[in-house]
Amino acid sequence: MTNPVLLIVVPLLLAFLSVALKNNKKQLLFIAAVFNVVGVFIIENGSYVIGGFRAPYGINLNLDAYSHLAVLVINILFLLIITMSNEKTKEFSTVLLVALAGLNGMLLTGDLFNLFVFLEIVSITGYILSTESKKYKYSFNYLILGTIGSGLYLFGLIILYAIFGSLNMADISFKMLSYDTGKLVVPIFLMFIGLAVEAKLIPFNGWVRGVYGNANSLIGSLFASVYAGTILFVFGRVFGQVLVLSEYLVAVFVAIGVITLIAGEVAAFSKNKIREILLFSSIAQSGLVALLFVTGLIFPTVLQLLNNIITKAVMFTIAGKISDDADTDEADKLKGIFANNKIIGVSFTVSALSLIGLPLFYGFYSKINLLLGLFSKINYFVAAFILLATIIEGAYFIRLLVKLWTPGEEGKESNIKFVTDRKVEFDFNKKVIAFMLSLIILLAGISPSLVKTNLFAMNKLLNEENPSYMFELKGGM
Amino acid sequence: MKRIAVIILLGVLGFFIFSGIYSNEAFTEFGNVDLNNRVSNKFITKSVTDENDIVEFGKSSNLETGSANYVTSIVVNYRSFDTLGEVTVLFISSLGVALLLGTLGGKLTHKYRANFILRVGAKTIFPLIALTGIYIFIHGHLTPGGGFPGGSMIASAVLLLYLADENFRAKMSSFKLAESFAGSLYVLIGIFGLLTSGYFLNNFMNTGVIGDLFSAGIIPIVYVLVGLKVGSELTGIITDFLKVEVDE
Repeated sequence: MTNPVLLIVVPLLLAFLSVALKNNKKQLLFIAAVFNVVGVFIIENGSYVIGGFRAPYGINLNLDAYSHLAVLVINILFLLIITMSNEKTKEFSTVLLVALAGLNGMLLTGDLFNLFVFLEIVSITGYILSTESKKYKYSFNYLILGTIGSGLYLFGLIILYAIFGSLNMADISFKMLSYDTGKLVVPIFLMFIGLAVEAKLIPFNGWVRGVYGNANSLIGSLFASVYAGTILFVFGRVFGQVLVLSEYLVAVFVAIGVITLIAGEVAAFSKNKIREILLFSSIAQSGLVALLFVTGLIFPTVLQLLNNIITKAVMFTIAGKISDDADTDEADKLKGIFANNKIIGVSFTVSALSLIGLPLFYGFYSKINLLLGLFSKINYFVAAFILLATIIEGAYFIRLLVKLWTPGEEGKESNIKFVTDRKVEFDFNKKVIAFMLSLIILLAGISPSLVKTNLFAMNKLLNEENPSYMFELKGGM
Repeated sequence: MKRIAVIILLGVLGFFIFSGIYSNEAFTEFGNVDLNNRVSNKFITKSVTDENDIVEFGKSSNLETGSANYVTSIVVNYRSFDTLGEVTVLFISSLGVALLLGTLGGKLTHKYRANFILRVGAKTIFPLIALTGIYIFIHGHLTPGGGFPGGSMIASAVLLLYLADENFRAKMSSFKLAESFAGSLYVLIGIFGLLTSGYFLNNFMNTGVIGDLFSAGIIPIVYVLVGLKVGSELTGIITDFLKVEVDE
């Protein structure tokens, strides 16, 4: 198999079949996820046109170093998450199959309208998955915001089409190079709003708290890791590589990113529920990643994005499972819960410390890279804000970890008999996979050269000043 | 206070969009657009793969896309992948309705007997509406219309039966099988194209003479499948919406 379109259409075919084969839905989901994970190792980079019409006239899929890495990570995480929360997938198997197809489509497509179609598919699956918590008001909120957002994206795209007469990413990008981008503020800003709703940037993220804050282990980790990762990869593609932004717009987008980063970290600091801490941390990370993409730092940003989605997959699964079993996720009521679940506790801790960016963990490598990148671009302000955010992040994560590890009241004797009597049983799958992921984080932290040489096809781009991966393939034209 | 803030914000956004678009700075002046720079030009002359000057109805044959209807040639051939996506959007929406209302709602318990005119009228009109719907999606490559409007029309005919016939309401299960079959076949046609010619959704059949009923290769087949799928999905949504609301 070399054609990446199969990553999209095989899950889709199985989704259609799963309606008829109701009893085997779960197996079909598993087959599709495994197929895709095997597939990402076989596909070869290149531009693939669909229907046999050359780009920009037909739709093409762009598989370059950037999107290859993205599909690789997203498909593996998807498989790991559905395996971790295996017991919860049955009801939503068909929805998850369609979501898998849509996520791959978003990452691979080389066409801005095709991206809109997949964005629609993915957001609708998101609305459906969010109803699992039975908090319909929050789902409705998400539905309205998401629909208006994608409508605005479409509106912006229509204006771009009217100006440039093309929908192909590379084609538009080329035409924009010889165009006064100052005139394109309206369409680009509208498209930005459309993606910002899904990417959780302030002020378009009113839906996040209700949806993430009530999600179970499956839905929460899918949203925070797979969905968030995909939308940010796409954000990086559209705003970091395809659209040529005027200086004014870059300043506005960076400001939105910085505000999201700081406000998210501050909000997380003031929370006590585990899932709320994690969700505000996710918002902050989205702000960080979005602003870095806009400044043109692609490789360090991707490293940081990977750090965020891998650790969030572990942490949201654990937080969701705790709140499913213990009926609460307030850290104060769960004191010492990790004392009885050491493997899970260690995985959670490694993830949290990596997300802060402590040395010895993968997060340190990604953060030092992005700070070096910012310094090389003489962008000291942003770097200062990132360091400030890191301090806040460190404070609340360490406070949370202390609560979850040490039984008993603060400042008094800590003893194993004070452990909360709320019981949480973690099954084999969760333990193994969470531990495995934290081992990877540790390994990648101890010897980052492993990441650089083995995992990434992108490593040659590490030192490039202003990389535009799109143009490796020129959109297949 | 909140409302005033919202109104002001909307006003600002509206002004921003209006002034951005109507300042005419961004767009080329009317009449000065270079058509060679726009993808749509090649769609009209059907010359993406090979150069083509004139397309003549009823005469030109073996074009890259044999559809006489421009819109169809774009929707189901040049950009067929988007259509597969849109079909999926409808599929997942109808599935979402079923997941939400299927577990929440109960079956329609109270029965009512519609009056004579509606009962007989509906049965008379049903085949006519359904036939028109089928006609529209079979001729999607020749005349305006296609799978989406044709399918919606069939669903509207079913809605009429729902209103008129209490036995039909009781017997009605779902069209899940038709939905699954049509969707899978659409993807399989695409994969067949991939296997035979290397391109997903490639129009691997002979496109024939433009304007003939049997022309345009896979376009009519795909449109029939889309029509069936849209029809069964919309019917499914109607069925789910007819369920009785239950308090939790």
